[in-house]
Formats: sequence, C-alpha cells, structure tokens
Amino acid sequence: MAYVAVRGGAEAIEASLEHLQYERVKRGAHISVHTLQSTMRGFLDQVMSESSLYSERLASLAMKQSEGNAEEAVFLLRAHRSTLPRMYYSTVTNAREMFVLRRISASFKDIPGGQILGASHDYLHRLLDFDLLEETVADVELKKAAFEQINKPEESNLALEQLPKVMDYLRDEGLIRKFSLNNQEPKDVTKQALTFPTNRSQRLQTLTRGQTGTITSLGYAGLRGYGASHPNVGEVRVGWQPIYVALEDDDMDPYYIGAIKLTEVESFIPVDVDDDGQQVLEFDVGYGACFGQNETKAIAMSIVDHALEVGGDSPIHDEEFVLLHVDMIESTGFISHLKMPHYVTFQAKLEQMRSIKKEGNQ
Amino acid sequence: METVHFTQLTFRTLMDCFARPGSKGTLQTLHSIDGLYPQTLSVLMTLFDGEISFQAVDDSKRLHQELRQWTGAKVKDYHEADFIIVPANANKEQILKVLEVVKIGNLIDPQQSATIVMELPQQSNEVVYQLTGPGILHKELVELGLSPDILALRAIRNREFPLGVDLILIDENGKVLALPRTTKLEEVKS
Amino acid sequence: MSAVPFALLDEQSKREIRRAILKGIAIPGYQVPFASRELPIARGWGTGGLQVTLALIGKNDVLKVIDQGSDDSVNAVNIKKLVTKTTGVQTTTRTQDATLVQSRHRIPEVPLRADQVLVLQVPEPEPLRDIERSEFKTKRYHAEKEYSGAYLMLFEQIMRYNQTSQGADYPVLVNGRYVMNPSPIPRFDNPKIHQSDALILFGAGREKKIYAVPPYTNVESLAFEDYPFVVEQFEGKVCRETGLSDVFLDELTDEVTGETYYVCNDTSYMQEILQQKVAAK
Repeated sequence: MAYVAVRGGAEAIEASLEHLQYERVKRGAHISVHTLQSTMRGFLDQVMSESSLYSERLASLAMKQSEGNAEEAVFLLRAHRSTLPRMYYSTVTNAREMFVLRRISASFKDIPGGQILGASHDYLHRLLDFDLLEETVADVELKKAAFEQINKPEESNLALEQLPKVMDYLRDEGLIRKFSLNNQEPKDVTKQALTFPTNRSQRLQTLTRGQTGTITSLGYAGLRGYGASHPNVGEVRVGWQPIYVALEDDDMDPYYIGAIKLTEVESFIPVDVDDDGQQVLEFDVGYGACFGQNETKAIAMSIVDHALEVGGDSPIHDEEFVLLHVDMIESTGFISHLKMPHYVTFQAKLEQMRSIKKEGNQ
Repeated sequence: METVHFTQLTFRTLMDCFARPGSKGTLQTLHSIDGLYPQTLSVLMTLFDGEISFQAVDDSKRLHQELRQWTGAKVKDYHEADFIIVPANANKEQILKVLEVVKIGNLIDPQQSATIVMELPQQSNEVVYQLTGPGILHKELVELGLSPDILALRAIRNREFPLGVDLILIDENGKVLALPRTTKLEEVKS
Repeated sequence: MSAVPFALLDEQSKREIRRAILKGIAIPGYQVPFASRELPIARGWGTGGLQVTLALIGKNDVLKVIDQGSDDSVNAVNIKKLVTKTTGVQTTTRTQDATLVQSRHRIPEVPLRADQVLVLQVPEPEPLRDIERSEFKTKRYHAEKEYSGAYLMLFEQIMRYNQTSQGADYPVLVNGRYVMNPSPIPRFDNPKIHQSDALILFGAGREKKIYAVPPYTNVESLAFEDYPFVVEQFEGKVCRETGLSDVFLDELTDEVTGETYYVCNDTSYMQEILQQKVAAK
C-alpha cells in the first residue's frame, strides 16, 4: 500500500515524531536555554530578525527545540507570534536616539562623533580556534574576569547617545535628493495583505522579515549588475534602540517599554536629478534595518530598498519578484509541500495524458 | 460565556445569514450599551477591532466613544468607514444621506466597501419581498420592516456588481438577516 | 509560558479572517486578500484552509479532514491533530456526521448538506497565474472581466491535443462574473460546486487569499460549445473492493501480481460501502 495511506498513516506519523524527539537526546548531552542565550548571539539575532519576534529567550528555546535548524527555529517563532494578541504600535522610532555600540561610515574617513568599531567579525582572521575545543566553564570565567580587569577611563568624552548621522552632513550641503516629508501611517504587512503597487513601509517590513541569505543574494545581484545602483555605505550603526508606546486618549508622554538591539544602514546612491531643467547629480538613500546585529542583511536590504524604490526591468527592481519570494516561511513551506502526496492531481493528469495519446493514435 | 466562544457563535450565525440571504438567525447577547440593541453589540464585538473603522448614523459622540473603547475600532467619515452603524432611532432621511456616500469598493478591490449594520425599529410596517441571487435556492419571500426608499437606494448603489454594500439587519428581538450585494429584492404586492 | 488560545489564533487574527470570509461570500469567486498568519504547520501544507477552519470552529462542531480523499493521510492527520489539540472538538471520518469538512484536492463522494461547510485548501488561487505572473496585472484582468487569456489557454490545448490538457484545478466561472480556481480537485468534482447545498470556502495561506462559493450559486467549468467540459472517465474500470464505478478511482499496482487495479479514492466512503455489504450478508 506504501504511499496510499488508506489506514495506518496516523501511526506512522506518530512513530516519525517520536524518532525526531529521540534524535535530539540520543547522545545523552544537555544544553540549557540559558547557555544558548548567553553564547549564540549571531544565530539568535538572525532568527529574531527573520521571525519578527524580538525575544532572545524564545529564540534560544526555538534553537534548542529545533536542534539548531534556523528554518525550523524561525518557523516555531512565527507560529508562536500568531497566537499573541498585538494591541499597540510603537511611536516613530528614531535611530538618532540609539545607544550606539558600533557605528562606521565607508563614505568619510572621519565623521562627526567618530568611527566606533565596537564588536565585529570584520577584522577577524577566520581561523578555527582549536583551543575552544577544550574550553571549560572555568576558562570562560577566567577570560571574563580578565576582560573586566582592563582599566576603563573614569570619564569619557565619547558620546554614544544622540550621535548625529552622516546623512545629516550631506543633507545640509544639499547633496541628498529632497523629498517632501512622508507622514503616511505605515501599513502592517502582518495584519493586511500586500497589494501591488506597495508603499515603502510595506516593502521595508517585508525585506526586514526576509530570509537573511535571500536578501543578501538579491542585494549582491543588484550590486553585480542586475541593479542600477552601486551604493556607498553612508553609515552602519548597531546599538540599543529605545521603544515607546503611546496610548490613544492619553495625554501622558509615551511609555518606554524597553530597548532592542538594532542594525541600521543608510546607503548613498548617486542619481541624476532634474533641477529646473538642469541635470545635476545627487544622492538617494537606500535604507536597511533589522533586529539584532545583522550588518550584511541590513546593507543588502538598503540596496534592494533603493532598487524597488526606483523601479526597473531586472528582477531586483520588480517588487512582486522580490517581495513575494523573500519570506522564509513561504518559500520553505511551498518547496517542502512538494513532498506531500499528490496522487489525485496526478491521476487526473494521467487520465488526460492517456486520453490524448489514444486520440493521437486514432 | 467566554468571549472567544461567544464571538465564534455570533460569527457562525452571521456567516450562515450571508450564505443564505433571507434566512433569519438568532443572535445571543453578552453585553449592552445605551443606544443599541444588545444583539447589535454582539455583532460589533465579533467584527470590530483596531484594524477597521466605523461611523454611526447618530449625532452623539458618546456612542462613538463607547464603541471605540469596546472594540478599539477607529472612527472615520461616512465615505471612508468600513462599517456603518444605523441605530433603530435613526431617521430615514439621515440613513438615505449616508447610504448615498458610503464606499462601495472599486473594481480592483471590491472588498473595500462598507458593511452596514442596521437596526430595524419596532413596529415598522413590514413589506413582503422576493429575494433572488446566490445562496437562495427558490425565490425566498421575506417580510422586512425596511423603507422601500432605502432598498431602492441600496439597489442603485449595488447596481454595478461586484461593487456595492452588504447589509446586516437586526430587529428588536435579536433576529438577524443579511443582504449581501448579490441579493436582489422585489416587492410582492398582495 | 503562555497558554494557546482556543482554536490557536488570537481573536484579532480570527476577526480579520472572519471579515474576509463574509466579503468572500458577498462577492462569490472573488479572491479577498487577507494577512494570513503563520501556523505551526508549513505554508503550502494547508494553512489557508486551516486558518478558515480555525476561524469557524466552535466547541460543538464535528470535524472531518481529508487529504487526497483519505482521512488518514499525512496532511489530514496532522491538521486534525492540531485542531483537536487546540479546541477539543470531536472528529469523524463519516462525511454525514461532520459539520465542518476541511479537504485537500477532493470533494467527498457523499453529497454535502446545507448544514455543513466545506473548506478547501488552495495552493494557487489565481486562475490566470499561468498566463500572467504579475499579481498587479491579474487583479486588473479580474476587474475588467478580461478572461480571454483563460479561454485562450484552453483553446491552445484543444488545438494541440484535440481536448483540454488541464488536469485538476480546472477553472470555473462563478455566478457569471469571476473565473476561479476550484483548488486542485479533479474535474470529476467540479460539478459538485455548482448549486451546492453546502457553503464552500477556499483558503490560500501562502498566497494570502480567501474566497467562497455560496450555496445555490451557478458555477460553470470553462468550455467551448464544440468542446464541452468533460470529467475524468474511468471507462470500464471499477473499484476492486466495492465494485463502484461512479466514483473517482485511485490506480494501484498489485505488489504480488504486478497487475493494475482500481479502488475508490474517497476512503471513508469506501469503508462505509464495505460495511454495508458486510451487514447485508
């Protein structure tokens, strides 16, 4: 009977699920959610971004439960998100208010407020550190203590809050293309389906939820020649972004509900602008932002954002091509659904092919 | 009854009424506010939240405020609102004026149209109508306490299917009946 | 940490789906966009149908779930398990006993009644997608009732093969207005949508669309006067178990003899016929 599940399918599924549970524990080792949360920053940042759910604790749980499978972890978090009521929207979040952990510009050697390298893989030699094979908890504690012994200056004049943006400098000089202020209420893509043409808020939300690898590839394609833009990274900033919620019919100041780690990118893309009949060159800004520290994704997002903003013929300028295919849950779901039985549709096709063949033989 | 189960039951009643225009469903009640039948509030609690907008044919700000507090729905002008509430005490002229301007969707997005939740006042003169359209097996005869003028204007606003408005009618006994835009009504002269 | 709500989805999500369902019924065959929540089962595995079911289901419902005609198939079992786990409702395999039937790729052989609702899972809701990949454009074709492309596609098949080669998911015209994908049911099932006693709802989770065919609504499969619509013909073939010939059949191979044989695809219907036969003896 094999694939034609007349009876017995339920038992087979139960057995498969049990087998899966066994896989997670069969080597007899244990890892706590706390340990994952304390050591797996990069993975957690990526899945929080792709699942649009900011919780390191739940992301760690998802990681544990899914045995470190990013696709499954995002899936778990998205599904959990569907069960949560969403009562409020935050007020407009301005990254000028960010407590900056890292902030660099590729466009200027020196920027007001300074280049702040923070923690980054960018300057690392990617060599396996075999010492970590033998690292113990005691080693970790020793290293931690040693770092914390390093003398910090009592006072620092390095400002980490209210840092100006590189863009402000260019804007003051009139080099950024002017647009009228757009105060349109954003549309929540998780509460209202996308309709085409989309507006920018819908595009940015879809991109920031997009699968990291997909966004990176699309950005790369744009950069390599399938897009019209070669951007300059104006500014990458990573830091703690305070979030506020304002209640309607309430005269109080907005309520501070906490801070999230955020990566924000502004890319500068030169464009021809018609200034009263005269052709001049000005900069457009491509924008990228995502939960956690995901610099590659945010930069790629800024390229795709701009490509979609200006439109064009190649795939990365096509909003339906980009926005309908970057979501991890949608792409992996539909690809994996091919594993489901399709014998009725196949039988319908088979019957037709035979009939066509018979017709042809007559 | 817990709200989740209450709204589920209310929705199923509404869905059956939409699927079978002319058939009358019975609405349950859970809460009440001044100025509306409690069954009307049941419908609003089931369909309203912060993602939709409404406007009542009512001059009092109080009703708007209370409904906002109950449901989180936003108040918008008649020509923009997703739902229009017509309390039993609204007069015909007011209703006609509103019905004239409510949104009927566009050909690309015909769902962006208003749904009108209308209370039928007590002791209104009932007229017998014959209903035809999807959801109706045989020509259904229904007695409705609704002014022919309102139904005539409804017909005008619904004349270019798929554009149009959908009506939910609730009487003082909590009976509910739906007239989606596909339903055609014809007065039966006795 | 948090208890899952009744029928999994939060109230807000259900409200949005419910509003979309009412619009869908009011505009038969029109694909109403909805936000579509992520569910614990994968997109493409019936999340559209499942969201409709979760928005509909109440404590007193009796649920039947089938996949490709079978109550016991991987997908059906999984969906049923999720719904019962979050609602505690009763399930059944007997079509007659269900108040709510969720199905992938089949309409049951036992005719549905007015007090039942059929929910069909839809992978690709857009009947014009094969001829136009842009959603922006297909929405405009529907707006203008511009369906020449859909007919042209069938016409080209006829020119090539002297018949249509569209297998399952054969497009229909609903209420004389909208061309609609009936979901990948075999053509055999298309006539069951026409003037059905039961309300039929369609959910496409990944493509974020909900649509409906109300009861007693005209639904015609697209065809030409000289090339009428035909359903799958199982000429001279009968179900090996029941002897039935007026049902949709699965084609199987006997593992021992290598012979091809046929059985009734709707497994619960087959069981019932078999039980009746045993009882009659």
